[in-house]
Amino acid sequence: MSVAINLESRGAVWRYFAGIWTALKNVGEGMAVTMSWMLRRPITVQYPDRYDGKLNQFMHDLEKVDQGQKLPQVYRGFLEVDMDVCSACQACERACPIDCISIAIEKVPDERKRVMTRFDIDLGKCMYCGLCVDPCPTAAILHTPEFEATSQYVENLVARFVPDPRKPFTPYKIPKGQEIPRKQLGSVLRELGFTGLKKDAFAPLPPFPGQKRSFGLHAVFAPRPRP
Amino acid sequence: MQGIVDSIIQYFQIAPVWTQLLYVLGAGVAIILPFIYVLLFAGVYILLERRIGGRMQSRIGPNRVGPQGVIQWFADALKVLTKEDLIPATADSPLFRIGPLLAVVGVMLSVAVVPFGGPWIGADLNVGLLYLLSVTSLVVCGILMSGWASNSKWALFGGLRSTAQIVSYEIPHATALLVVVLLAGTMSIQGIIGSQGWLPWDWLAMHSPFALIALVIYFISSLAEGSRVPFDLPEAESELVAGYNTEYSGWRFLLFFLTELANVWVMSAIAVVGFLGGGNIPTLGLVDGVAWYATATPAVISALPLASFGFWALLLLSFATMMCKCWVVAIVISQVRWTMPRFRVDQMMLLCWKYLVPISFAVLLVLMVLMRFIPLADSAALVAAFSGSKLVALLVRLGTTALCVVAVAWYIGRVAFAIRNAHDKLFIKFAL
Repeated sequence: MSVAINLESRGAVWRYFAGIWTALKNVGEGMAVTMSWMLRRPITVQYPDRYDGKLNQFMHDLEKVDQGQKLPQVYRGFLEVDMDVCSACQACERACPIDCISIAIEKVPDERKRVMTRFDIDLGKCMYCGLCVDPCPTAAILHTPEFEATSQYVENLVARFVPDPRKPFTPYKIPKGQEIPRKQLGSVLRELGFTGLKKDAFAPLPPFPGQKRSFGLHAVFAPRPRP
Repeated sequence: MQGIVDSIIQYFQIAPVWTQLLYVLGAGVAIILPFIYVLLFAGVYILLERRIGGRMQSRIGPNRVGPQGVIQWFADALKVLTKEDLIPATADSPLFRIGPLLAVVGVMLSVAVVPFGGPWIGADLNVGLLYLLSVTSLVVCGILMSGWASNSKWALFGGLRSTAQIVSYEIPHATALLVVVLLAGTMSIQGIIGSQGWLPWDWLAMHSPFALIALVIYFISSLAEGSRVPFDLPEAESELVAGYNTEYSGWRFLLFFLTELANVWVMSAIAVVGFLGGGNIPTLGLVDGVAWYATATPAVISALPLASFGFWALLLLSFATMMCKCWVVAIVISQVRWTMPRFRVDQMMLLCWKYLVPISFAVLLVLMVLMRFIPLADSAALVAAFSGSKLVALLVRLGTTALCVVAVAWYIGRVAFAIRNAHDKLFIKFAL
C-alpha cells in the first residue's frame, strides 16, 4: 500500500515537500501501530493473585504458537529424586557445595539391610548448579523444568522425597547391561504436591518478631485472589 | 470569573459596599479552583498515561494501589513528598531553591487564561494569548536556573538544551497562535471561542487547509515547548541522567513533574480553544429568541440570568464539551509519547528552523491574503444571510473538514490493518 518515496531522485524543493509528506505519513503509521496494540489484550500473567492455576496450560499454549518461548528440557529447575532407582550412594550429598541435600541411612537390625529414612533437598537453599546430577550413577537425581512453588514460608521449600520415615525406601541395586527405569521428569515433585500454586501464597505475611498488627497501606489495598 | 461575579451582583441586587469584597472573593476562587483542577489533572493524566503506555507495550500498567490503580498517583506523590529535600553542597543554594518554583509559577500563571467552558475562566484578558506566550517563557528561566545552580554537568546540559529548544520553538508556536489571532480578530480567549461555531466545520482549524497546517505546527511546537516526548531532550534519561532535575529530590522534584503535566493541560486546552471550537455547544432552544442550532458562545451563556435553567445547563454542557476535547488532545499527546523516539539535537533544531518556522510564516502570509477574499463566516451566518462569498467560505470549510475525515478514516484503516496482520501469539486467551 505504501510506496517508498525515493528522496534522491528529484530536486531540492520536491524533496523538501516529499520529506514533510513522508514524515507525516510515517508518524500516522506509527500511531496506528501503537493504537492497534492498545486495542489488544496484554500478555502479562498477574502471578499469583489473578491467576487461574493453569500456568502449565499457558506454557503449552505458548509451545503451540511459538517454539521459542517454551522452557527447554535442560532447564535447571527444581531438583527431583526418583527414590525407586536411588542406590543410596550419597554421591550427590558429597557433591553438593552448600549442603542442601541431607540423606539418612539406617540399618534394619534383623534383616541385615540398609534403608533410607530421609532424603531432603532444601530448594530454598539450592543454587541450581547441577553438581549433584553429574555423579549420580542411576540418574535418580535430576533437574526438572518445574519452577513454581511460591509459599509464604521458607520451610515449605524443603522437598522431602521420603515423606514418611516409617515407610523407608530400600536402595536400588544397579543391574548390569539393563536400562534403568526412570519416572517421567517432574512427576515425582507433582505427586509430592511440591509444585503448583500453594494456597498459602495468598496468606498475609507472618508478623515480624515483636510486631503486633500491620497498618500498612499494602494491607488495606492488598490485591484479592480471583476465585 | 468576573462575568460570573457580575451576574451574581446583578441577580442578588448586592449593595455597592459589598461588591469589592465579592470581587476579591471571586478572584480567590478563580485562583484556587484552576489550581486544584491542574493538580488533579496531573495525577489522573500520569496514571492514564502509564496505563495507556502499558497497553501499548502489551503490559497492564499500574493496577495495584486501589481498584485498577486509581490512586497510584497519590501514593507516588506521597512517597516523593516524604523524601529529603537534598541540596548539593556545591550547588548555588538560592538559585537551586528558586528554580523549580519559577518553573511551576510560569505554568500556573498561564492557567489563569485557560477557560473551563462557558463563561468560566480565571481572567478573560483582552491580551490573553500574548499573556500566555509571555508567562510560559518563565518556565525556561526556572529550568535554566536549576540546571545551572545544580553544579552538575548533566543538569547544565539539560538546562542549556532546554533553553535552546524552548527559545527556538517559541517562534513557530507564537506564529501558529498568531494565525488564530488573525482569524478571530481578537487576543481574548473568550473572544476567540466566540468567533467559532459548535459544528466541526465552524471550528477555526477548518477555516481553510492553512489553518489546519497552523494547528499541526502549533501541536508540534507546543510539544517541544512542554518538553514532551519526542522533544524530551532536556531530560533525556538515556543520555543525561535526568537532565535539569538530576540533583533534585523531594517536593522540588515533584514541582518539575507538576510543571510538565500542567503544561500538557495548558497546551491541550489552548489547542482546543484556538483551533477546535473550545466549549462551544448549540443553544438547544434554551436561549430566548435564538435558533436552537445557533452557537452558545461564552458571551451568550453569561448574558443569561443566573437563576435560569438555561444558564446552568449550558454552562455544564459547555464544561463537559471542553473537558472531552481537552482529554482527547491530551491522550493524543500521550500516544505520541509512546510512539515516537526522541529526536537528536540537530534534528530538533532542523525541524524548527527549516520546516516549522518558514511554513508557519508562509501560512500566516497566505491567510492574510486569503482573509481579504474569504470571510470567516460560519454555517449559521450563512443560514441567516446568504451571499456568494459566504458560500465559498463554507465550501472551503467543508472541504477542509472532509480532509480531516479522510485522514481519520485512513488512520482507522491502518489500525484495523495492524490488528488483522498481527502475529498469532498476541491472541492467547488467558485469564487476567
